[in-house]
Amino acid sequence: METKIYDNTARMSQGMAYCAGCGIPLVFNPVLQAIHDMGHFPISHIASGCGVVGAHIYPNAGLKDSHVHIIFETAGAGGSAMRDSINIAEELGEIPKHHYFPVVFAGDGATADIGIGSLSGMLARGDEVLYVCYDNAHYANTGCQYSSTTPAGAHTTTTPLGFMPTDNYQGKDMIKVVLAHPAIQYIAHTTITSIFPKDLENHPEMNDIRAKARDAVACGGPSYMHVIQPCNRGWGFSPEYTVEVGNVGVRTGVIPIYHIVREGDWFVYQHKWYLDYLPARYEGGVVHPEINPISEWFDAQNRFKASRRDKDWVANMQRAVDWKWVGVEGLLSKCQLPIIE
Amino acid sequence: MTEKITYFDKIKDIDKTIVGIWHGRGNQGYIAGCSILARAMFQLEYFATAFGFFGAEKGGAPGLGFNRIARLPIEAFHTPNRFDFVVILDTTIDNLTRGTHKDTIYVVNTSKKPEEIARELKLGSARVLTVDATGIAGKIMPAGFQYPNTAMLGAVIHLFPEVTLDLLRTEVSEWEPFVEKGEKVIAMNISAVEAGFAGTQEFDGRGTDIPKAEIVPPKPVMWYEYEPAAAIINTGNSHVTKTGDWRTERPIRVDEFIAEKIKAGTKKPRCIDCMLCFQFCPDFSIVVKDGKIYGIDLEHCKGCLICHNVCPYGAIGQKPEAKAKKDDAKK
Amino acid sequence: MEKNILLRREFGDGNYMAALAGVHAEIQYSMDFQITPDTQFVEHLFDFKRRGILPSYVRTQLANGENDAFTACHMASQCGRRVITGSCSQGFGFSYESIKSLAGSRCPVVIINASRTTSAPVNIHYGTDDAYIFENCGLITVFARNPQEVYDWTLLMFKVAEDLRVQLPVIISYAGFDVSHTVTGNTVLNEEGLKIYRKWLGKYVRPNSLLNPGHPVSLGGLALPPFHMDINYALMKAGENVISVTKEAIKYFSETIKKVPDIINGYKTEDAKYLVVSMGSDFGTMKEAVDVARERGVKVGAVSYAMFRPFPVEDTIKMLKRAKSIAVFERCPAYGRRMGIFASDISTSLSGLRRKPPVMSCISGLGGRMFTVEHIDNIIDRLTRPDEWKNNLRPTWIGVNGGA
Repeated sequence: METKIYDNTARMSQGMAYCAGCGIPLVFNPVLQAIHDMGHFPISHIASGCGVVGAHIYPNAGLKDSHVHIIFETAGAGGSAMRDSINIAEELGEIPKHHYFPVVFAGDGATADIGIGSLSGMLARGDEVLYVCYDNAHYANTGCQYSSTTPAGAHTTTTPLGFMPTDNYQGKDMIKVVLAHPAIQYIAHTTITSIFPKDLENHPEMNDIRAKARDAVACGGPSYMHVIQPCNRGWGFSPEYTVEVGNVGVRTGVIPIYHIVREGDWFVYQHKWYLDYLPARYEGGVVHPEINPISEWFDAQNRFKASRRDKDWVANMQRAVDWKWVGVEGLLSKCQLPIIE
Repeated sequence: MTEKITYFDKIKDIDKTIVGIWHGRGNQGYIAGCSILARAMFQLEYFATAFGFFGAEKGGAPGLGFNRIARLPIEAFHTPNRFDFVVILDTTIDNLTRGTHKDTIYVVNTSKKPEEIARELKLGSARVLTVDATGIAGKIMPAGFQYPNTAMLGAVIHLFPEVTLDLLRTEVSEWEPFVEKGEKVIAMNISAVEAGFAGTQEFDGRGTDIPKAEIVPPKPVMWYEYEPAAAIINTGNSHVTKTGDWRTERPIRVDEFIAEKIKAGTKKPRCIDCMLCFQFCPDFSIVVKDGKIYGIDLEHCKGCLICHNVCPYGAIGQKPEAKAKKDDAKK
Repeated sequence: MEKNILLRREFGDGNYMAALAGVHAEIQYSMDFQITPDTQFVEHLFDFKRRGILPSYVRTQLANGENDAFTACHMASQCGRRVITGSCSQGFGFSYESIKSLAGSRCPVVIINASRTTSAPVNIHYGTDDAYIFENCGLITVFARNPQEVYDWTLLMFKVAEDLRVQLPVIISYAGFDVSHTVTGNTVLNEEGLKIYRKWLGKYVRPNSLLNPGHPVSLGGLALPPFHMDINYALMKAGENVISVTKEAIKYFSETIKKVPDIINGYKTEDAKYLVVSMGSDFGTMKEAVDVARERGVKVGAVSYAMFRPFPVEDTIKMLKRAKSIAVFERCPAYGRRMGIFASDISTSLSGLRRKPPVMSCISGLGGRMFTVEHIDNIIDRLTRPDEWKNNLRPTWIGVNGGA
């Protein structure tokens, strides 16, 4: 059986030390490919975490483009420095213009917790960098501990039964944090999903992460992608369901797919929200916006096993997801809805 | 066999520290195995340590566990390099005879006979015990949770007659991760222990002509041969690591499976080259040629089966890797 | 001052001279955060940028914390940019992770350190304990005694750090406030001098730079036990080249442009029986004390170390072996040790000698405490009676109210 790879469009190599079925290559690769699609070569700054495991364990390096790992908490600063260094080198004529594009890969821990200051600084400086947060909702590399993007009720080794309304800590919404910076040009919230784009015949290579990364590279300023990355180790599902869990998340409305574009000038601006996928039921030729019940989301993974035993809690979680869509600042009222033919 | 083989019959009478190594793949439970053995030793009022070698352990990736057992307090905590017993949970791992000497004892997880596996793995003229731990786990435990470590422990305690079956039963039933998972799990593991203990076969290979595998240590990199700050200049070289041996399930392209029927026209091919499997393989092991799916790179496929799950046309099925290897050997 | 066609006068304090040296060395990138007494160094850099003295391609970036600043400088250096930055005290402590990894990643970043005592309790005055934070991390550390030396050492150290035999980050340490904020007249390179210096310095060419089209590279990942120690050995061996490369640079600069200080400098050491040793700007006080003691008839000399790391063992032996006893002063506390770190370095360097002079370790001037000629004279007097102190089990603290 031939084992050579004939099609070399992947920007990562095989034999990386990620877990079987890990979602990280499914986040990194489309982003790197997208940067190539836009005519640049990516330079990646990878913050400490699961991402580095496959990228560089001496002497094996997984990414085919230049990448560097420095430390854990300064992902944003590395991004700024890459952008400045590229600009300096271009002005000095050392490298061709627009040859390189900097991208930062940081997990949810390195973005929302220890590295939040660094991200904030990078956005405050307004450097044209693509920042990709792969959010697996815990600190995966150290064995799945709570991070501030862990959802309520989710088991982690430091929240064994999942945190509840009786706990003080809840977490944060990174999209709101990023929106607080006037310079941010493009924000995307997405996940690893095979639901769309549906046009498999014409765009077999396209997935949402790649499409959004292309838009992020083209936006002309700092861009942020928050990619929910299902982790089979920490979330408790068999490795084959990595993409399926993403799909369930989209269908149950737990993972909304949207992007935000900044419009206006330097002084006066607004953020326009665009919903890219509307979970819906088609009946009698009419589109009925509908999300599947949240029990489907809990069924897909083990980490809610303890918390979902409480029926009140499940009902409240459904309330929370519904509110995200139809509430006062819900997505259905805030976003431009996608055109459905 | 007529004469009983002696092992570490009375640790009280042995002056030196007994050092053992467990070779296993991630998810086979070798750390739990060496830990439970150490705890059993502790109950006997001996001293023992259990630890693993830490790096990037993943399910399916080869890993190491170590035991030190002695009648006096153990002061050494570094990684040992000379072993008195070797526990092999997976015979496809490389360098199994590393650090062994003429009196090293091997305990191997295999369904083959001891002398056969000794010759196959080139263990040298040594004492070899075998137990079909994977088979036992397969019979007792549900799919996805078939850990061979407890059946292996049943075999390992033959080396230490002072660790009785009762003691091991107690230790297994008090092992915290099992206790957390409940009575049923404890009961399954105890059955596995008993089956492993009963199903062990011994072979005294001392004095025979069984060859010993030559360990060729990897050529060390001299300090001056590194790039400054150990930069990797041929980046993208990780494919030299053949992660294909991490697999426990193999994805099979259905169209290959029913190739004859497709040729005969009785079945239609399922794959339409939509490229979803290619797009979502985390190990980039779907081979594409001329815009069409050509096959699966088995040297690197970790068997996650995302391709099987994401294919909308059912064009990728699965088969347990052990069975697939057997079928390949037959062809 | 000799008439020299390559030089001109410039008035400035330590911080200004450090910034000016960065400009003269043609830095390309700097991200710094402000911290007393280093703030003005940062302000001067930004001012040079505004005034166009730093060309337009140079980026002086706004940082939001020293940790980010040092990582950004690390990244820029790995992208092949010449980088200068600065911090001290709490900033060093905060950025330990970032700064230490500069050495392992072989980034020749020049770090300006207007030295300030570390907390707790908080203090903003001169103490060298911040330079000592990295004494065992593989960074080069030099101490400048006055604004002139800040300028000279910065120019020299860009050359030394970027040398392919070295490739290590450098800390240029000088007294916070005493040197950083003291304005004095200095000699700097004029246009002609800059031409010669810049030709000698050359462009920074980084092996395996990230910005190298067609040559992707992977930097800075995990090195497991089979690899890490050898990589670290290579880093240590690079440190062994530092002193010879520095001496080459000093020789060239002194012969071609102007005289610059040596890595160890002495005052009246030729016939000295007793020696007082220090680093940095305390040397001025040492000299006065030496003169006072000599009037009494005590044959004492002063030694000033410019290079602290890597420690110049051979030069130490050469310079100090004939002394009858040695007093070493440092502005960094020594907790639970027999001698301060600097004194230990000197003592162990001399430990192979058949007749090893006893070394008195003195802790002085912490947190900007007054450190006077009288204090030193007192110690010089005690140097003549080594039996009184040579079996001390801890350093002597000078100037403590009610303690010693």
